[in-house]
Amino acid sequence: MRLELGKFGNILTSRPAGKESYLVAQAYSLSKTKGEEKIEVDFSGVEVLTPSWADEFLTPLISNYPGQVVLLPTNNASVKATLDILRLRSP
Amino acid sequence: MYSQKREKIFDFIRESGGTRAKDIMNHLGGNAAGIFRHLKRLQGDGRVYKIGKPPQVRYYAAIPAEGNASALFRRAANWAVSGDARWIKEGEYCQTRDVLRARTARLMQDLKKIVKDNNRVYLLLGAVEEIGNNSYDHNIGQWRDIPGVFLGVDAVNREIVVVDRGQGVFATIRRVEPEVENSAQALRVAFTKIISGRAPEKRGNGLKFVKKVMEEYGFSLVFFTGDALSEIRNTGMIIKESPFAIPGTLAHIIF
Repeated sequence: MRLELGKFGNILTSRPAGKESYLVAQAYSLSKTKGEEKIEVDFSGVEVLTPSWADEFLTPLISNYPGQVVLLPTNNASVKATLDILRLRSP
Repeated sequence: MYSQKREKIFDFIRESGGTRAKDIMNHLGGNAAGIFRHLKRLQGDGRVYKIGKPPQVRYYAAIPAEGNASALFRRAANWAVSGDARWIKEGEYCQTRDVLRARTARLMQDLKKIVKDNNRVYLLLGAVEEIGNNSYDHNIGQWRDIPGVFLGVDAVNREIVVVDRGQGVFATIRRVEPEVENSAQALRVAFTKIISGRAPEKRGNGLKFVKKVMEEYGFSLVFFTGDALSEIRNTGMIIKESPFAIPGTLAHIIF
């Protein structure tokens, strides 16, 4: 399945917003994953991503779905810098 | 060795509040090689630093707040110290993070017209949001008096300030690192160590991100708290004594 982060907003900042977004994703999107299905995270449409938001969304996502999460490539510098700080990697 | 020409260049940079090499040449005359030789020496002496990437490089005088401070910085510093409403213009006060977020969204549209590379806009606003949200994260319910942050922007001089009247970095960090003895040590921990000032929650990446953005993308940040400040540029981070005491925090970004 694909999680389009752009649908959560173009400016993804703050821990409370990240936490709320993950709770919604869990309730409405992630509940539909089947078995070991890959979960692709698509950063299209995201203009600003910060570690505060990402740590509340991507960190639990990767922890709760080990080996299933794929971070799709992006040219957005704030996304790349955030993933670098959190030590997460796009392929 | 003293050089009258170099001193004239320095004075011009300081009085202009940030200028390009081309403007120096137009104003003072001389050839490009000579001007750049003097600029290199001034940078080596720590008296001047540069912001931005070619062809948008601007040179600034590395002077503490008094005397040469910009109008925006003076308002920010006065508000940081006094909390008096006279220092804030309409639209600059963000009582909650939702208000900050709305301002950031508007600011993005303005910055895209000034900064030609959108990626640099995204990084800059990411840094502003991390600094601002840090203020709320650590101070909700604990503000000295006025809740929220002052977000000020001067698009012409390419400056942004984010200021709060919270507890300050020393009080926050000392809770989790009791051996930290002062604001200078607290700043070093805040910008370089992955540590949560809100332990037992696991946090602590925001200011590391800010430092990375400043160092790698040609911006400048001076971050004041207590009696210390941290200067972060493409040459790295230096922590010094501040010329004045800031009870909460004051971030001054030049882009």
